[in-house]
Amino acid sequence: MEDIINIARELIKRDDIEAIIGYEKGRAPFQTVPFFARTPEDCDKLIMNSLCVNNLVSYINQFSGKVAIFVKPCDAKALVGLLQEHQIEREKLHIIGINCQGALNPKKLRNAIKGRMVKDWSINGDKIKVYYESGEEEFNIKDFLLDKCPACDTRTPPIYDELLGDEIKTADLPELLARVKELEKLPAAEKQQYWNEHFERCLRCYACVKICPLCYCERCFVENASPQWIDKSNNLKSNKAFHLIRAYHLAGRCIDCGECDRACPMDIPLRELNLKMRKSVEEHFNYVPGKDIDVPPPLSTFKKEDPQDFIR
Amino acid sequence: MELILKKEKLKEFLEQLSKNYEIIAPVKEGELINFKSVKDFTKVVMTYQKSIKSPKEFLFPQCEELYKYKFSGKDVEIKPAEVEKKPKAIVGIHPCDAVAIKILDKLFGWDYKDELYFERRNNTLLISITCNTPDWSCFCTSVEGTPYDADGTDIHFTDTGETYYIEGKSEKGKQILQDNNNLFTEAKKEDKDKVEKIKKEIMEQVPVKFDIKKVTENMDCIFDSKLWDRISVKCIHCGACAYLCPTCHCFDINDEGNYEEGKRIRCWDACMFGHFTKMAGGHNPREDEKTRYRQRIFHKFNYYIKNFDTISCVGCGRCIAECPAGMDLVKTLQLIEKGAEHE
Amino acid sequence: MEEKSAKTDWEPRIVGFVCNWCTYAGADLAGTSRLKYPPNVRLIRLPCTGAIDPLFIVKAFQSGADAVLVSGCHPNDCHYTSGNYHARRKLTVFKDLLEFTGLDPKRFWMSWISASEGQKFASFMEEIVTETKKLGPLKGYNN
Repeated sequence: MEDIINIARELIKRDDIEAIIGYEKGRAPFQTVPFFARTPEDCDKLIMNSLCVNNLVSYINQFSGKVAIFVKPCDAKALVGLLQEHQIEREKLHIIGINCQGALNPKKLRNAIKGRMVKDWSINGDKIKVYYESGEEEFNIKDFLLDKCPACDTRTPPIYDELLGDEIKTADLPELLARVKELEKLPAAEKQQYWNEHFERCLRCYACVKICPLCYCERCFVENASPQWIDKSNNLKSNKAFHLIRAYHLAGRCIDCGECDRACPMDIPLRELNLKMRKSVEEHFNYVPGKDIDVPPPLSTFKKEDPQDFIR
Repeated sequence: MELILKKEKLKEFLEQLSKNYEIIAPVKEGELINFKSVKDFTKVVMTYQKSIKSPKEFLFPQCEELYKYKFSGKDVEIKPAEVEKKPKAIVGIHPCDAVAIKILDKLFGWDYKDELYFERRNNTLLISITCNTPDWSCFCTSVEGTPYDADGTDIHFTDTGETYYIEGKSEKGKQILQDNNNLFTEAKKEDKDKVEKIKKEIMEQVPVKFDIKKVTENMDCIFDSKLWDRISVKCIHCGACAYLCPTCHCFDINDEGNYEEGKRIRCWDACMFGHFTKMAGGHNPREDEKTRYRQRIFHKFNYYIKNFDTISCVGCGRCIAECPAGMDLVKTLQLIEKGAEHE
Repeated sequence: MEEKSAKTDWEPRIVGFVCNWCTYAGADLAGTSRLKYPPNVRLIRLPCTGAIDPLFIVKAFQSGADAVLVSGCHPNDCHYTSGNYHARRKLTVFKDLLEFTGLDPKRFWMSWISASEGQKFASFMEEIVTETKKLGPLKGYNN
């Protein structure tokens, strides 16, 4: 995507645009980090490739003026969610959408190079080429995709002002909810054990909350001290309560950008909880988040004929 | 005192050690390396890249009870917390994490000597290992550390391939080696040479990234710099960096209980959280990312020097490797090294 | 909280979040009609089921409840027109989440009980207590 620098330079020259929210190269091999370009010179640092993993949408409200933002399809779904809930203004956004064939997991790649010093890397089609101090190696992008990517059915952002990259055709996608269905089949005791083992590890650093583009409450329920819903203690009891409510608050809203999963230092499979909520909302209320700005989120509305089989 | 332990005898050594100590060692959990209380010593992973959490939690737990209270009529009954009596041995601790414990000692033994901390501390044996797998985020050499010099531990290991090269550091450590003499062989000159060679090789893998003297000198005149606005925008103010950091030690004291009884606990807290400095009246002296991030850097590279004559960072790189927003402490310190005029 | 150890003298604790206008009045009717039902249920009266935050339910389990009941006005009967519809959506999803994380489905109940259904209230409480007794004390929330 060689033209993104030119596009950005043109945009930043406009009087109405305060900053461009994009990515720059990080210090680590395969690392990209969020970057905010405010001058034409800044724009030269901008990059856009399959290693641009962060969802930048949560940074929009840090700027008072209009911003241009690079979004992958999943990030754009978060924009839809925020627009639906009136958290951002469409007029203050210039959305540069990117067609996406899936983003790569930088940690997985770093593991694959086994600690060798990387001079540079480049992405060509479905291959990633790594240049070492001496020699080079090629990897298949397919093997290093983030967990959320293989089953993703949205390869073009649902909302954009301009669109970059070639259209991506997908066929024979694996089932998005396969893992959830697998877990659902476990007996209750095993389910509980599975989740307890994960919840027990939780550090309560709240990286999952803070990185989530749709967790925008000014005061999260975990910060509330009166009433203190969730104990400060880091133990299974309160960690579990925290995770249940976190997932519930995203029911019908989570657009599966997988940022919570990526952010969690303790590798708690948060996406599985979110996907369960997605499944539940889809089954009961026939709703999939991140598609339509004009439809209210499912848990802020109701239908008289909603299912109620379990109610006596 | 330098000895050699064959790798297959490590299990036996740990078994001997476990007669008197609870063994805390790195084990693999999924993709993560984590320090855990271990009973099955075949699971111990001595050569590892970076444990996700530092072992500080075994001296300063994330949450600990200070005392229990119970109301009966007009009286209050108070029962102070007790620390586990069985000594612990933290095995396989990297030099950076070991140095961090020395840094924590200063804080907890400052104006008030923290009884709970020191009860655990004095009851803990530290067995370190040379870190021969540094990764891109490591920068111990830039903060006056090395991947092999674990100052303040009792016994030090170096992985030399087929064997461990073992140094008794403290009296306690030397005694333990003495007691298990049958497991070791005496180290020869070539073993020593091998270790020196390993040390040299690892040092090359962790190049010095900035001049820490210059950084700390510049700190005093950088407080009001515009630099902070720029570098802190990315920060999402979660607590991952502080909770994974081996030297971060801020805590919050809380009561948990009901009308009849409860406990007073202290739990880790982090200066990156918005509510960390929030006061009862609603005022927050550190309201934005900028002031919070600046606090974190200043605490580690300025205030701590003023109080304890040492920086409070050991270069383990966890905060860099695990930051979900890609904040990079090394980059920040490099900017500070250049000084405020380069903002 | 007393220990819930010996199964023989263990009695389940049920927390019921009920709306002021229907189920609470229904429970009242059960009482004034001198209907007999197990005393294991503790009712917490709310203005409307729509006011129930799933945090309440988690908190109840944490505090030692072995089963939780949410009950309010029948559809079309909500005192505030639509509170019960909102509750229905929220709790449908939340119940799925509880089950997904390993809670037995028979520990979370929801019902519509009107002010005139004292009999339904009494027999429903009977059923919940019987079912919870079969399951034994709840583990994994209150440790």
